[in-house]
Amino acid sequence: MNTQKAQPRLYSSKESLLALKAHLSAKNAKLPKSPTIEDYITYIKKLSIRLKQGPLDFWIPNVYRRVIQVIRLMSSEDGFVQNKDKEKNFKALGLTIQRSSSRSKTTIETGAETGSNAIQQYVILPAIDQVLEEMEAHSDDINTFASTHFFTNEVLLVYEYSTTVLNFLLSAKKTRNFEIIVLESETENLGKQFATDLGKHQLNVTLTPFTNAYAIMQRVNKILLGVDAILKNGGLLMHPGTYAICVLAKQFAVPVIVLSGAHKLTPKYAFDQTTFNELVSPLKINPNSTIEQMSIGITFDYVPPEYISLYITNQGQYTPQSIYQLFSDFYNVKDEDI
Amino acid sequence: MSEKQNQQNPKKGEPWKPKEKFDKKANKEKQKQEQEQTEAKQESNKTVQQQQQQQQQQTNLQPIVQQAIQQQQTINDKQIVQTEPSKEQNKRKDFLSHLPIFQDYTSVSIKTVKQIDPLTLHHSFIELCIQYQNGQCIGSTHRCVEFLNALKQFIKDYKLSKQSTYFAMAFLDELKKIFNLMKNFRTVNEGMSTSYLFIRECLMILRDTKLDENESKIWLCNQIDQFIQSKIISASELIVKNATQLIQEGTTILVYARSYLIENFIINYFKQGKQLTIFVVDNPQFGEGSQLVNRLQQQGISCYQILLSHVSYILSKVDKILVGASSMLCNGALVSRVGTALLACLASTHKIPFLVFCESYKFSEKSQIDSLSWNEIAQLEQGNENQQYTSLSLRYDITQSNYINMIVTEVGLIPATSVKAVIGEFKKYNYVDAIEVPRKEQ
Repeated sequence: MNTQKAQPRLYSSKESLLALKAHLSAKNAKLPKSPTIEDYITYIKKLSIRLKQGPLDFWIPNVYRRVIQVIRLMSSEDGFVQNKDKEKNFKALGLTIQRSSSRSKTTIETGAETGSNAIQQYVILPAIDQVLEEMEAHSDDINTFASTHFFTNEVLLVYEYSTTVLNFLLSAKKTRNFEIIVLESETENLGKQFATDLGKHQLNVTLTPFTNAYAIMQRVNKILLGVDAILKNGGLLMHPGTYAICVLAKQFAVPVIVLSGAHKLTPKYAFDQTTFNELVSPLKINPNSTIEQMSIGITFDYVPPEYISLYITNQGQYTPQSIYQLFSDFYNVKDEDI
Repeated sequence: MSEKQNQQNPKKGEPWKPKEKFDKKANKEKQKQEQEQTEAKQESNKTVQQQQQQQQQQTNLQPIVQQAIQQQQTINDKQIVQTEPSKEQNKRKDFLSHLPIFQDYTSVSIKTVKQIDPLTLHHSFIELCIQYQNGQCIGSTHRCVEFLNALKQFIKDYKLSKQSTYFAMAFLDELKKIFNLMKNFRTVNEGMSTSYLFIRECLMILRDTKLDENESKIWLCNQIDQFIQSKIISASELIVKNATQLIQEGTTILVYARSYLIENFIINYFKQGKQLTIFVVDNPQFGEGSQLVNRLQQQGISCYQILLSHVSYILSKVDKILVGASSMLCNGALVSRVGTALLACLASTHKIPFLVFCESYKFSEKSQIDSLSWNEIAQLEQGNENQQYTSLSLRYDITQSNYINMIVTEVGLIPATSVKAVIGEFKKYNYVDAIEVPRKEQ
């Protein structure tokens, strides 16, 4: 079960998209002879179930859901690409577009052998490319909001490593002067790594162990967090320890801002710490652990939406009450079972 | 590490020999020599080397002094070498610049920086300060007891100089000096302050009586023993008894770091044949949680270990949270190991009872609202000079009174707001109990 943070989640999402491309272009792809859009969609769904690395892997299905949604949008007649030129192109290849009775269903009949490749070429592959582009540029879109939320000489709190937060801070540094406190968790060295990376860019960084969180919280003006997954009710799955920080932040009335690319939106629901969670090996927490002194470690912390002030995604800024809207734009309800 | 020091220090096993009385003047010179010789072995500055060259011609060192050299070496081997003795302790430049930093001090730096001559310090205090700095002696009760033992040793070895005739007043001055010196190594915690006040009261009583030196020393040592017995040992028994009534068999408790009282409580509880599910929250910085776990394992008690960041997972399964205290403040706030306040905040969100175990001698007349106005910075890891960030780790934490449900003390189960009333009661009795006035034996 690979939920290790060896690489950012973005990386595994990108890899899975490239894998999808490779699968589609493989000669023994299990597609029917003249595949329709629906066939492609079912193929992608099956592939996602196969490639998924366990029940707690959200990132591969998220990305495939987005691809499917983009495919639907691109091939529908009231999709966001009102491209009459595309119809002409299809006709030039000897294809005809049949409009069925249901509104958003279209099938592209193939007149020649190149037909299946045409769908792949003009719909599927551009969809995948578009999703890849969105993901790679997500940081740039988030950074447009960088200086709108900070005042001068603010003190910000960050927790463990997050590339999105790193890029955000580096972009905000150009216009604002602030001080950063990095909380480090007890197990991994990610906190130190984050502090070093921030310090390289001449930012004023202080590194503190997690236990000092209450003591320094009164000094903090805002908290910036990166997530592992945003759930449909607005709740978050994050690095263990973030729940404690958010509870403290509520006590001290410190706003919590969540930064994430939209590829982390997961259309699932959770209510407590145990819905989406996994116990890690005791030896990772404490190498001297025995059966009598069992060490307990978890993978995720669930944070209810009441603790968050703002979500900044590459699709815009949302409050916990309104983030469900993003889900209906970003994904399709039919695809929530993968 | 502690075994090594025990081997180097045969004083603990040997009987006390009257010949080796601590003669301050003679030992002053010896310690001077030994210091300069040890510092010659390191990179030191030129002035010290010049002094050392002058004094190398003097007499040989005695075995006791050699032990002290080895002890000094253990201090000096560990520390960041100070090239300039006139350098002030590094102050932080950020929002915590008002807090003291306890670097590893050499005797030279204390002499020049603080203008106090540490050569007058008894060897038991040197040992104690080394232990404080190493982290061998942590925990408020442990530190206080070790301090009082060192003080008793000092009393036994103390020789009244010919100029003063009153033991009490001279000793009071010595006591003040000792305290000022100890403050350079670690902050003096509340228990030690209470014992200081107690000893001062004893000395005031001694001043009015006409006991001679030996008798007054014996009486003072007895009083210190009584203090330890009544305020620490029997207090702990009473607290354990009170707590056993509170906690039913089979509950799940969560414990943070290591507390002398809670350890005793758990061991006692299991000896009575009852069962508990124990979660120990570990503090990897100080390693106290794993110490507690090892101690419990020796007694055959099994428990779960968890880290503070993962605590949210098990909070729904926990019935009570027990913590120990460094001191209780007048406004009801708890001073305890850093991280306790976080636990208290989570406990109040999840509506879990938060119990504090604290003896009454740790009650303090201070008041404090937040953790940053007074604290102690723990310098546990040596950071690289190249690192582009500053490290910060605090030692103590202030938990507000509204998070605390109950304090278990030997005077009963009290709410956090009653601390002031208890202190007021004790003030009537010289901080401990009525002190018995010594009578001259005839």
